[in-house]
Amino acid sequence: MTEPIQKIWPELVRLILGRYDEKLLREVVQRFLRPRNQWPVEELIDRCVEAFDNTVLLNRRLKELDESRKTLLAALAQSGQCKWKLGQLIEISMCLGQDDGLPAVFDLLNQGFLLPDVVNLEQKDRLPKPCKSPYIKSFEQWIGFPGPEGLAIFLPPPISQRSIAFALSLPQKYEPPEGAELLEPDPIAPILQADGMEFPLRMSVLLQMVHKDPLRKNQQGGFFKRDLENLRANSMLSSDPSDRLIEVPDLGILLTEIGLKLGILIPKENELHPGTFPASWDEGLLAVLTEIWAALPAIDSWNPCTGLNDNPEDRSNPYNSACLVAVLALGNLPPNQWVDPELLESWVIDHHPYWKDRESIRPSRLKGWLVKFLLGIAFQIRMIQATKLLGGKYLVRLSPVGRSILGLQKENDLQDVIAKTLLVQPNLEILAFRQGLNPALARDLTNLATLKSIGPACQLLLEPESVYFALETGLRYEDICGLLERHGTRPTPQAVLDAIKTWSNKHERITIYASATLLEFPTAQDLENALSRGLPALKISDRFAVATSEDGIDFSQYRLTATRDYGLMPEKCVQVESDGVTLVVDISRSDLLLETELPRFADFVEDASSQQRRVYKLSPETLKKADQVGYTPTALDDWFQQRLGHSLTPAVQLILGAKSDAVPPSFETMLVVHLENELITDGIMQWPETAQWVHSRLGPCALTVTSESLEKLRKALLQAGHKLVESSAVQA
Amino acid sequence: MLIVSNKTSIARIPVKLHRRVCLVLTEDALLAEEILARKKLASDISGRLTNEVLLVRTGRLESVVAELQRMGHTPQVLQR
Repeated sequence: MTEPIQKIWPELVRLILGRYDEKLLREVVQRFLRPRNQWPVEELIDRCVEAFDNTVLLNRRLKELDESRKTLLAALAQSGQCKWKLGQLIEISMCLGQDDGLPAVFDLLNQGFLLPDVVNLEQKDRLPKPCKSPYIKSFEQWIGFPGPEGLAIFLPPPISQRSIAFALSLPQKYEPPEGAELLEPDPIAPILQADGMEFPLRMSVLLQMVHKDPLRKNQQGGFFKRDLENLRANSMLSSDPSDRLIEVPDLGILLTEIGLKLGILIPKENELHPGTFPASWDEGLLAVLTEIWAALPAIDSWNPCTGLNDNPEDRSNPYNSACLVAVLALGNLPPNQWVDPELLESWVIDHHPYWKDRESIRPSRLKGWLVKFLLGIAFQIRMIQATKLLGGKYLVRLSPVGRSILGLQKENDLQDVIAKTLLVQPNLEILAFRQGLNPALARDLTNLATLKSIGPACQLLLEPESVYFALETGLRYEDICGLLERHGTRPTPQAVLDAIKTWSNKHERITIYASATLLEFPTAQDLENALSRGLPALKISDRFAVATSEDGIDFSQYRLTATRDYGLMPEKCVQVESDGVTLVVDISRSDLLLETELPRFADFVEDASSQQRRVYKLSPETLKKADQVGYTPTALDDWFQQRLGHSLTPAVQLILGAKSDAVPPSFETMLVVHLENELITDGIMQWPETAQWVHSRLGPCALTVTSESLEKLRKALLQAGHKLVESSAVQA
Repeated sequence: MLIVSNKTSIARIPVKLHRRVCLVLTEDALLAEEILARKKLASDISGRLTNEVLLVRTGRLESVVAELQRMGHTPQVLQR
């Protein structure tokens, strides 16, 4: 999971300032830090990062800012978003009363309150390396050539926290046009407010959906047609909430985009895969809703007017800044003041640069979008309260939760309590009553059971697959039972507990280590010693132990004789001794496969082995056993070629036996004739008078003759002057 | 007080590391036999380290998991 921006912002600021040209850096720091001495660049950057944490200095510098700059910073701070497109900042600035938004942004960049996002914050889990040749000479130059990251601006969290309380230059009242009547709320009409769980629950549905089938994207970045249809047709994802006030277009697409921003979905190549729930799911509903609110301005491919924007050539989305300004405008009103959303929409349209030239804008884009956003989205994330008028229209106001999300008040009425809200039925169905649900429980239930419907009472089903998934997330049988007991209105039925127990037991029968570290010890005693010293590994044989990670291994206790990557190709690491049957394994080069192969056709010789070499011996018995387990002579020959670099040794071939068509060995009685030297032997073999009586030549100076040919050879040799005598006569 | 330490017990233990190993650990040898008897799985298994431990060929993890699930098993996958 990626680190939250609140933790890594110092590193980001350092990386961005490191890309400033020295002259620009000194100019910015001079305005922000006002140093008295001339420090080296590295120290200047360090001091600048430290200054962001200096509350007194920050407050002093912010106080000196022009009101128009303060109001822009306040608007950005209340959005909760720290990355902005330059265009959006200009739009917001103009909505807040500036004729031209660019000077305000430039001013804040020059003073160091805003930074160009040249490190691509969206990929904060793989940040770029520090820059060796700074290239931003001025912000004008950066706007002209922004690089692949685009024109994005970063607002460091400390600036955001200090600016949140600045007043916004927004109206305190919205008057109806001349002749129209100001709508007043019906005093007896109920105040409508959502519970805020709709989006977190739908995120759970989305995660389960993507877990089954990842969503695929095409080359242009849009969804595959079938996946798009599935997203739109999924009744739990895209249908209207039970407390809906207005229809929202392509709700499933919006949730997918939010899921992507929160890390619940992870893009991998051209697919969206399941990620994990963010840490905010443990911090309560307010933290989750704040995160969803902060994600909204960064969504390009969806808007409340048309839903999905699948035009790859037009990714501009003026509705993000317009909706943000509208919610900020609600926050600027007294807490209990109701507003007609249509009046608010008219005001935004009058002040937003996108709608300046109304003649060129389609009529469908002029009206109705803000009502959809406020009553459809902001209402569901509990930011807005609504009240219905007699004519069917709604008035809206910012809810206390909305004020907390914007940072306008600290206290909130959202308290997570451990509620008994589950009804576990013997047929493995779980009913989760909505009023007791919180994000953490919703997440745990999502990991444990398949969501079948969401509504006032959510229906879930315990299935083998869902329980296995829960077990894979780290839950144990006891944890699952504890969860159901803690939140169950009644004791969990025995049948359900039995089913979970059965699935848990079955789950533990096969364990697959996807990328483990295997520790191979020379002897069983060494492994026992290592385990007694606290080696965090599981013993799987007398010499092997498996560890899921090397993190917990104290390597100061061990001497690494070799390390070997399992993915590498097998090496030639065996040598054969002169006897042709003794195989010596070079431990430093051997791999794990060798350990599985050798025992099949050779016996381990412990006495001859050491820490550097392991000795195995082939014998007729082991080779017979090898043949039974599939090591045919051909397979064995292949193994010798791969591991020794040559064919089977003659000794092994002898043991493996002759071919069926080969001549069987035979014996006969022969006389051996020993000659004085090789020259004489060659002569006997060459001269026909002697050669005809020789049976075969045994060596350089030895021949064999039959007893019948002996006398004839003796006579022939005598003709040449050599006398053939018996060995005993020579010795005498 | 004189402390006599056992030299062998404090000596560093020689060990060889095999990294990025993909293996299947079964509850018993019979289960390992069952896996090896499955044709589709046997081709993805590169060796049998012990009676209960099978080594999986590099890059064949997903197909092993899928085939085990087809067999009705519910393997617990660590470090995926």
